[in-house]
Amino acid sequence: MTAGEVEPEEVDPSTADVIDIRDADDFAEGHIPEAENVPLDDLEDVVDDREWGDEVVVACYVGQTSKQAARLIDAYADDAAVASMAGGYERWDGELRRPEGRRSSPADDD
Amino acid sequence: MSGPSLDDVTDTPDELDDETAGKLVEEAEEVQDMTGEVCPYPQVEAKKAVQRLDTGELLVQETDHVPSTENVPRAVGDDADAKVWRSGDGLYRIYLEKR
Repeated sequence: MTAGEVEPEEVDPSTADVIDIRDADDFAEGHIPEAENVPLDDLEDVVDDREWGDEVVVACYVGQTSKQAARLIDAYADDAAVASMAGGYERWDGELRRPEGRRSSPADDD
Repeated sequence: MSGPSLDDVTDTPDELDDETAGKLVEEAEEVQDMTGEVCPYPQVEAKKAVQRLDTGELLVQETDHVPSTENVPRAVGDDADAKVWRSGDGLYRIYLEKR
C-alpha cells in the first residue's frame, strides 16, 4: 500500500478523479471543479464496490487525513495511481466551484 | 468491504494496554474530548495544549476519528512522545507526553 502525494498545482481535474473527503458542508462552501464529495465516513462503505479511474487524487483540509484515505483507495483500486493532495485545501490556489443553485437570487429584484 | 479498513492503513504509534491506559488518563494534566471532530481541529488543539505543558506532563486526547491517531502525533512532532490506546469499540485515546 503505497499511495503517493501530489502538489496542488499539479492536480489536473480534467484527467484525474478528484475525491474530496471533507464533509458535505465544507464541500458546498467551495471545491475543486469536477471533484466528487465522498466524506471520509462514507469512504469505507463504497471503496470496495465502486470503479476507480486510472488516476485518483484525494483532497482534504490540510493534506493529512487524505493520506490515509489515499492508502485505503490504493488497496482497492488495483491499477490506479492514487495520490493525496499535499497541503489540502489550505494550499489549493486554483479555481473553486460551488454546487449549482447557490447563485445569488434574482428574486431580490423588484 | 472485504479488504483493509481505514484502521489498517493508518500508522498508529505504540499501543498501551488497558490497565496502563486507565492509570495514565488519571494522571494526565489535560484530557481533550475530540470525539466527533475531524482534521484539522484535533491537530490544532493538541499542538496548543502541548505547548502549555511542562516536560513530562501528559495530554490525553480522546477521538473516534481513526486518522487522528496518526495525524495528531505527527502534528506535535518532536514536542511530545505519543502512544495510543484502542478501546476496541471505535474510541481511541492519544497520549502525548511533553519532551
